[in-house]
Amino acid sequence: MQKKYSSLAFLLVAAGTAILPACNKTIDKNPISSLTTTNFYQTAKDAESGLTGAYNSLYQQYYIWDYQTNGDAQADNCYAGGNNPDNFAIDNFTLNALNGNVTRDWQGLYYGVANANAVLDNVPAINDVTWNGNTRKQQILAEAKFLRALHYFNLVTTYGDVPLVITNNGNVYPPRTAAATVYIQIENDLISADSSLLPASGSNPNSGRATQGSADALLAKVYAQQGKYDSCLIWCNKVLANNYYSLLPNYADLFDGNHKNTVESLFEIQHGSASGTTNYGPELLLPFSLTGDTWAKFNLPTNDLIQAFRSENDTVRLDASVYFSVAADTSGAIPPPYTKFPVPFAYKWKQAAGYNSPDNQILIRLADIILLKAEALNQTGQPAQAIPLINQIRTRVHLPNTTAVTQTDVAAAILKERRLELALEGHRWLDLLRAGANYTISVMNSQVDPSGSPLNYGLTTNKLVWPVPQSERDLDVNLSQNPGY
Amino acid sequence: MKNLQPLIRRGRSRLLFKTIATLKLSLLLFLAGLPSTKANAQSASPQPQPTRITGVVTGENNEPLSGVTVEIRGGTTGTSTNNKGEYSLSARDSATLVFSYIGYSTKEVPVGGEHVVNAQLQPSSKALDQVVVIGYGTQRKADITSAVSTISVKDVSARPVISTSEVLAGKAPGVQVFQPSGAPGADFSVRIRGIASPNGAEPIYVIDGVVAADTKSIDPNTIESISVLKDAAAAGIYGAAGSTNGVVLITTKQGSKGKTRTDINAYTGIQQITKKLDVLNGAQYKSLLQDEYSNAHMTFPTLPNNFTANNNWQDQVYHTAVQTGANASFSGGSPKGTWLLGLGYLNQDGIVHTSNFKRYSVNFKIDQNMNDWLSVGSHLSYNRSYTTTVSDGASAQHGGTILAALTTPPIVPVKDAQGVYAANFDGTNNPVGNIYDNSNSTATNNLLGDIHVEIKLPFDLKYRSQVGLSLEQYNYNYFLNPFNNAYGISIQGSATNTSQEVLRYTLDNTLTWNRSFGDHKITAVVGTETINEKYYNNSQSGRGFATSAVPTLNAASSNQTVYSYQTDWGVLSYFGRVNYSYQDKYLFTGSIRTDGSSRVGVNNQYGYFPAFSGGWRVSKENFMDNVKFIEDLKVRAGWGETGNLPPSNVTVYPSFSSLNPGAPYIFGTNVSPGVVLANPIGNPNLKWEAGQQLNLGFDVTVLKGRVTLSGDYYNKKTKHLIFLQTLPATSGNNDGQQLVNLPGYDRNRGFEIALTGSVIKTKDFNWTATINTSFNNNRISGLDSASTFYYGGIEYGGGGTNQYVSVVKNGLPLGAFYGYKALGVDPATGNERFADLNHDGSVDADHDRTYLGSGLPTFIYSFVNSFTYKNFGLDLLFDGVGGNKIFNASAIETQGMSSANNATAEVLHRWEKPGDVTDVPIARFSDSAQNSRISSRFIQNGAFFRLKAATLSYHLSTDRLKHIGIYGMRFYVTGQNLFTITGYKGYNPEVNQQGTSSTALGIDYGTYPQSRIYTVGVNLEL
Repeated sequence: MQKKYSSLAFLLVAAGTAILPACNKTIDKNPISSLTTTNFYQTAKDAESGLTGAYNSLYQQYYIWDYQTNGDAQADNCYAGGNNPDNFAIDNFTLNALNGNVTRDWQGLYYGVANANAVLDNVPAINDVTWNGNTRKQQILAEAKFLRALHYFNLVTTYGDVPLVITNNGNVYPPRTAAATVYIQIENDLISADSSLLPASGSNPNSGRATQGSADALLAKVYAQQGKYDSCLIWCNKVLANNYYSLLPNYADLFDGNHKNTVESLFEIQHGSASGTTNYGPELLLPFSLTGDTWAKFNLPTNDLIQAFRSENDTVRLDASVYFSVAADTSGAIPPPYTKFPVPFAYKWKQAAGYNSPDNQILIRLADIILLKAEALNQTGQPAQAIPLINQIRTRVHLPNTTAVTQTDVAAAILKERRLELALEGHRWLDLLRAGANYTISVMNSQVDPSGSPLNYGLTTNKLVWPVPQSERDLDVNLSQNPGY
Repeated sequence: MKNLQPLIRRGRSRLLFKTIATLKLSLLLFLAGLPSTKANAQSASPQPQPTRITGVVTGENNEPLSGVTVEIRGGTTGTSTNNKGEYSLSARDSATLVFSYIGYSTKEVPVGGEHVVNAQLQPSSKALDQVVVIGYGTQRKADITSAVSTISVKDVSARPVISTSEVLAGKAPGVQVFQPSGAPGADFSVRIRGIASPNGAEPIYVIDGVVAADTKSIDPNTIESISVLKDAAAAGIYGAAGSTNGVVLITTKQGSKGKTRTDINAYTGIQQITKKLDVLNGAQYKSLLQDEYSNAHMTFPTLPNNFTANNNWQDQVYHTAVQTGANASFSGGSPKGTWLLGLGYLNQDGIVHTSNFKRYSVNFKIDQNMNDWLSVGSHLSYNRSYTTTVSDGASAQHGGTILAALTTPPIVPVKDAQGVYAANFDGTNNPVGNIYDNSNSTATNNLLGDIHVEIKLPFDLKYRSQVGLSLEQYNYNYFLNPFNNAYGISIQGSATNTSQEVLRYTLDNTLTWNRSFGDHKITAVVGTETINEKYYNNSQSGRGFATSAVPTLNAASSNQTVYSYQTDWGVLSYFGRVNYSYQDKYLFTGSIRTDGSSRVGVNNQYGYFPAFSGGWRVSKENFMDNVKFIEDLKVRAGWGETGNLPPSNVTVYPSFSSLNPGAPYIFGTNVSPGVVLANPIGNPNLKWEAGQQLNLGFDVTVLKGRVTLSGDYYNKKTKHLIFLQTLPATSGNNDGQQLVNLPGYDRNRGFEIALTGSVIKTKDFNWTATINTSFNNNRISGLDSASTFYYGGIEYGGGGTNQYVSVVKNGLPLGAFYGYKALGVDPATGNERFADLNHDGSVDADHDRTYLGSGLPTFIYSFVNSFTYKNFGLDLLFDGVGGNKIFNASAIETQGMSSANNATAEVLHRWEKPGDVTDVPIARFSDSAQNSRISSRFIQNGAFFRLKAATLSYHLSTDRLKHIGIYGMRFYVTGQNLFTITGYKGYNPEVNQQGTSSTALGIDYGTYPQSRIYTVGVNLEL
């Protein structure tokens, strides 16, 4: 009898303690309501959503309008306009490490890098039957690599040496990497992406995705920026060999808001009217008559740019790029530094739509690559071969052929042609830098305000690259600063 | 005579015990060869053979006592009584049996040739024999080697209690009980020995053995006793579940064996605001406004025609509020079990109109012996409460109703001609509109309970298994009237409904071994515990109400939103503890706990928390025999580690990086859903916060127990402090944040003294008094000196952005106020001058803000008195704090003189013209000189001394009432917060707009003030 009781008791004890090993699930919990890196990235659908998220980084301020501020207002194409001290500092070369744009562009571009890294970190381990017999998985990785390369190209050209982060599981406090090494990573990403990306096709339901043409074109730009014109030429030729691409017959069509993802477009940021996809950039640029806003708008084309159009009688591209606001269609406010009408406004995006514009941003288009090829040919001692390419661009906008013949004159002609063709599209600052630091400094230091008074920028070599944001240096002690800041 | 059934049972149990005895002997031989050899040697000497002795041990009411230790004096063998109080052992005729039982006087009875030796034990009045609940067991107070404070219901039953805070307040040294807000039903804060973590100041609560997050589930009138485990040596057994801040063990009332009893307690009272502040009248207000506008070079606005009233809005907002409560408890028990049924009711109006707290509670406790080896029990406590709040500083911009009662100009009418609550000309609502147009009500269900089974096993082992449950569920409803005020009209009314459920279930299994042999006493316990918590939250809101008659969301027509969220977490623990004493003189306790949890990083899930303590009862030494006046003297030393879980308000899944699914992109013509990286960023290496604490103490009892003195010194350091740190953008997120352990310590060091004495002890008049004093020094050290973590955001002036008042920073205590140092008003300009600390010629945020004092007191004290004269009793509880500051953020609104606000009377001394020497700066609309920035201008001394509670009672002599069944009757009148001496200029120095925050302390910003309370009541025992 007593045996029965004691053994029963022991059984209970045993049962009580036996509950424990089964309880490991007590401390191994996965989030229920939050999406995390562990419950996501399981399926092909997750991979697509993650990649879409990486593309979503193209909706951040850098790609909405900062690239234009940095490319055109920092250069001689635009005045900062508006009323934002941070933008004035970019225009006037008085940047410091506390500047808000310096911080947000760094943060935004690295957020883009991280979202591309998330795809590259996690998708390789996914296996899904929907990928059987096709190359979609490789395409996804290639698209992410293209995006990462794009962000790094913008980082390295803006800040010089930057931390090279190619996985989200690495050092949280990385130091800066030499720009040359960052360029190597960009080239490797693009070359490796190039073979997996789809070629562009007119019937592509996925227009907006990075294509082989996108990667080829970006590679051409990356090599050109390093002065590697031989390689640049190779990738320009690859773009031009693709019969899919051609110049639109009518230049103005590119910027009328009705011609998206044309045969001229190599990489274009997609906007629409759906929530979360709209473009607030145009509202920041367009005048009262088109928006009803009474406040001062940004990135106003300079007198110098207007003169460049006018001296060339380039009415097609001037009309497509600039809107002249007269007293009759404003509320009376004249954005600085202009003091009297007519005031030129940036006009390559024509629908403000109350900060919800559906206008796309074309980051790279064929005219850019044609002129880049001309530049590469000229730089590699083939000015004669470059001239027809310049004329191809000029013919479309009903301008006569260039008269340049010598290598120096052809270089100047290409630079000017690029300025007019690509005005306000964010390319000018890098074009100037390719023409040389001294050239850039002399051009910028001779700029005048609308009344003709010198602006006396006092640009020096150090100011050709931006400072590393102080707030990031505060968070990462391993981040060094550029000289002069 | 016994009936047949128990006899059969007894036969069975004898057989069992016989077996057990044999097994015990072999265990002894096995475990401790030496003592048993000695025993064998003794029994081998030529003496008469021992005979079997049996008997029953009873208490004063002849109820059987189980678990009484029965030993042979000078021998090594012993046993304990079963549930019927019976024992059986072998002893020689010449032997003397020693009966000892916790809480009772030890009794010695010679065997004298009898075969049946019964004993009746008397309860001991000595405090040292009290049984103290220490977590997974009990211990005699005399044996305790760590810092444990006990509070018995006798200390509090003198008056009704509305909150558990009143049971704890002032009763234990080193324990600060704090009421951040006077709102009915508001949370209270308990700080044991300072604040051991920036992530939380509150201790953990263990209610009848169930680990709970707070005490909301119990009616405080059901509390029987409280043990506060203050040091790591005591709290270490609770490991990581937050025990770094100490553990509060609450035991609820239970029935008594062999006695049925009915207790009824009913009371009613009134509450009043302790003081009103002087505000400007209409003429003074208009003059102020003139100054503000002319000094800002602005045109004076045209005030509405109907601004002709003369309201002191405090009179409109505050009223004398009634509170009524009643409790009944029914209890009883047989020799085999006890039961108790309790009911409670409370209806407390707040001193601000419409605010109210109602609580209906029921609790049930039962313990039953099923047979000799099995007993079961359960405790269930449920209450439902209704809380109606007004928007105060903790829940509204501009400080809500409380501040609006000060800042709304006297000339504003309550309602305008259209019957709409009038707003000030800058659009801010008047407080009456705030009260009646917004309805905030919460219905809460709280359930706490356990079911446990205890099994007696061979070898003096006892197995206990307990399932505990804690459920907190609420339904919150907010409604803004669509017709009665400008904002409500503009959005056509608004409603929100939130329901939340937090379910926590625990499973405990413990095995206890209790043995004494000779001079050695050992209690050992090993156990496991699992805690699982599930959290559910659903929230919905909407606008567009066509009618004010239906305040629920079915009547909303626009802006409808829905939200739902769930989380869960768990802790899995193993623990063990040994209490050992030798000759009652040398005491030792050692414990170890291992906790694993889902709330720390997956790479560091387990934490190990050892604790040791020792005690020496010096008074038991022979050399102390001649020191007659010392009754008892014990010195104690202990060290241990405790842990804190990472804060749950950031994430309970710290290992995982969050993703955000709201990131679309367009491909072709389709909008595709995308997923992007979000906050927080996962940290799989996140560790527990670990507290290490050294405690040195003594307890001395002198003058035959009339005076006791306890003192403790402690030094506790919490390391691996957890902060939400912003990572560089390269880590993958803009301002990405991650929970990290930073180097450095949160150190609390101090000492505490408790002195209790029976000052006067005569036949008719008695006075006992206790003085509790404690000093605490808190510092954050070892953090990177560049790191500043900001807390205590105040959205003052309606600026729309938080201005931070408090910081956590290296070298400063928690609750540190951080801002500019105000140097007084410049007589030339009327602007407040601020110190240029780095002498660079400008006063800027980066270089000229500094430490301005802390909201955390450095000493706390209480003075508890109990007088009895014949049938009268008087209890007085004084308490106070010192060394702390208050940031009076309300004064930014009431003395800022930069908006359309009315102001308090201080501004009558404002600077008006060059040469004026005053401490109140210039009145200037929109404050371009930032005279009202966060600075020492608004820092005030937070020290206070107050009469917290006074109760006068009268016991009716019940001798003549017993025949009608009344055994006790007592009338009382109580006053609370009768007076407060303080230098603080706001409503009340016990305040914190940030509630129970451990990093932002002592901030007053439109916080609901405390009240003065007068109560009358009656206790009836049937």
